[in-house]
Amino acid sequence: MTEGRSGQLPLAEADGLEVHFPILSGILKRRSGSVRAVDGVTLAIERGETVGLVGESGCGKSTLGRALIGLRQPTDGTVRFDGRDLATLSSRELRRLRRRMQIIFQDPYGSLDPRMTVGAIVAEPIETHRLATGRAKVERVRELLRLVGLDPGFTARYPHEFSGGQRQRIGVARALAVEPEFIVCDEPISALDVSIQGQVLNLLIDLRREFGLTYLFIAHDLAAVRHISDRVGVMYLGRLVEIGRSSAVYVTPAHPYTRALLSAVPVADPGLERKRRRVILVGDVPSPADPPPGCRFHTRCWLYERLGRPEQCRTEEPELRAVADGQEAACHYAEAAQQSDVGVVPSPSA
Amino acid sequence: MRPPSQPAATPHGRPPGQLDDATGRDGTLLHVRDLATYFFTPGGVVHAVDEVSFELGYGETLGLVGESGSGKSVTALSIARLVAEPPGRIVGGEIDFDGIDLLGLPDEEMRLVRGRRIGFIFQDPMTSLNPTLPVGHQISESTRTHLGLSRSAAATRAADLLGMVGIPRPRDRLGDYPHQFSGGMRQRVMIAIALACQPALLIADEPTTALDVTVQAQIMELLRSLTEEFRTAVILITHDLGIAAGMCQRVSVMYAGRIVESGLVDDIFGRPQMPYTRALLDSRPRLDREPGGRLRTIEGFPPDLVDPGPACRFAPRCPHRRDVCDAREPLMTARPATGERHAARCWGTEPGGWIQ
Repeated sequence: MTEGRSGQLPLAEADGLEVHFPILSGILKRRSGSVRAVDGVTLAIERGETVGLVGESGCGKSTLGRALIGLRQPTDGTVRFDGRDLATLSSRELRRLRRRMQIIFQDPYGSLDPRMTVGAIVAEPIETHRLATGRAKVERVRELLRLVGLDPGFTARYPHEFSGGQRQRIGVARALAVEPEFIVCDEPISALDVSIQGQVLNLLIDLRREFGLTYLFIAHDLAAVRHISDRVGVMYLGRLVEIGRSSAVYVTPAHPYTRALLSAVPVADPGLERKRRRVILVGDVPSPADPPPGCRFHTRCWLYERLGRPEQCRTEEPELRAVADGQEAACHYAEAAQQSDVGVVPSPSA
Repeated sequence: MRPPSQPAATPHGRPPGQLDDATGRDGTLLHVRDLATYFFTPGGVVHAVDEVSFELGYGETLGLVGESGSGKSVTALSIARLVAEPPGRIVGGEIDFDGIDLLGLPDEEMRLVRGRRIGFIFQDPMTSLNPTLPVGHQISESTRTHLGLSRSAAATRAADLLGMVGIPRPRDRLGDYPHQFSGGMRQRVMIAIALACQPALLIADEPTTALDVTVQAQIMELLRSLTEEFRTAVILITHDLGIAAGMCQRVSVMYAGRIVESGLVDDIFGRPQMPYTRALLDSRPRLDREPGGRLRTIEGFPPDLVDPGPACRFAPRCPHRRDVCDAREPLMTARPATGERHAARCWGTEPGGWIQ
């Protein structure tokens, strides 16, 4: 068990975590291989902290989030919550622990049962965990709706009567119903309109302050992740390739992949857009069933090309190592990456 | 930053509104005047696009920016006369495309314009590609119909096009079906089809919204270089202000069926004259600004377009609202102080107005 910087036990923790999915093929559905969705991730999230997780689709960020709250079985490695190894718990103990961890999904359309009223949707976890009944339950549902900025009189309505932003608020109310400590936010704003995204981000930040929540915030929007996160992790093909304080990762990124991601984000400033030097990654992400040897990123890496294709990148998989205070990267040439100016978006005050 | 009133270098180096060298005509390819497209639903008549006017020069890229329901996609569909009818119908306005009155054109002639002179790219390539036909066939279909190419000439051209949009080993991929391509590669196939006949106008409706940011950058770069090479004018529909900033020479912002602001990209982003545009620019975290602090959000919702009423459509959500905003909707008026081609629909930022 690792101890966090604060000297306390981390709240949620993955240690050498592997989550593989079988590839079944042929009419007999024989296992012909496996997708290594999460392939050796160690991550400790401290109490009260928000850790952001970014990466392209299929990098394993959602699977990692689900594994941390026990919704995915680890193939190998350990997941601990508040110091307790989830694999060693009885189903009753696990159920009790689950109350303390919740998830908010991307799709505010698909994640709410269209046949249930809003009141029933928010009340369901309260009933499941037997937290309140009768009058107290009804009051609690109204309180939760108020908390997320919805009219408490909405309890008898159905999800289709609400806009995307309102539905996401319903999802947040349901997650909060059990008074969790840890919430995995899996792309909570990406399906929403621009003006609504800000509202939901503000809400999540307010709730974090009010209830001392700990978040794992998974998103592909790098600006939103920086806005809400204390630390940010970057995933590529099942591995954590960089992690550190947001102020470090966004200002002096030490992995060429992080720099490529940042470089690809368009910014709403035409003058800046004209001046930016972009590295455009070639090709698609390789298959996680058959990741490239050595560094998984070398097949698309601009720094590898720039350095004259060093052999080490093809043969030796880099491990995460400290590159600065509070910043780790898994690149043999992290120092060279850090010195480059590729990808970083200057802020006007900088 | 250079003064925003100078229409100088664009991301492509093409000054907007310039005379077209090849044709010698004045620089306008498309004139849309007072376009109105309504949807006739059981709940009432939805004024989805309401008196929308804009123009587009040859080879120019115009961004239509707005949130869902603002009318930007319906505007594009109206230009192509692809609005589903019923429930939709173009009820008014004029669309002049290179001297052709598109709204007066018989259906079969309009079909010839689509594909040949106006190309399309949509958000989800899977909905516009036919899953049961090889991609080579789908590209050839257009060049055979519109350009009269023979089967073998069309196949050669299809392979060239696939190569041009960056698909490796294009000749070998002609027989592949859409599902055998990744999301980014399918969008490349769509671009190949859209540009197959070298149309004068390309309408790209959220072409990268479903893609990862890295693939988005690839596709945008490809679109930029190809449309520049072919001198194709582009209407780029996007909710992402960053994409508009990087791709467009001019931008029109839509809200609740109306264009509420338009101008050169530097003027729109540098000195927005409509509170909605300002709010859009501030409501999302941005990598080019210091992080932290509370996001300034736009509270409330867009109005019901069945009965938008006489007020400014943004008034109920506007922090600067005054009585006049509730009484009468402002017109689009020129804003010469902030840009030669800058116009906005706001009482508060008109000369003598109260918004700074």
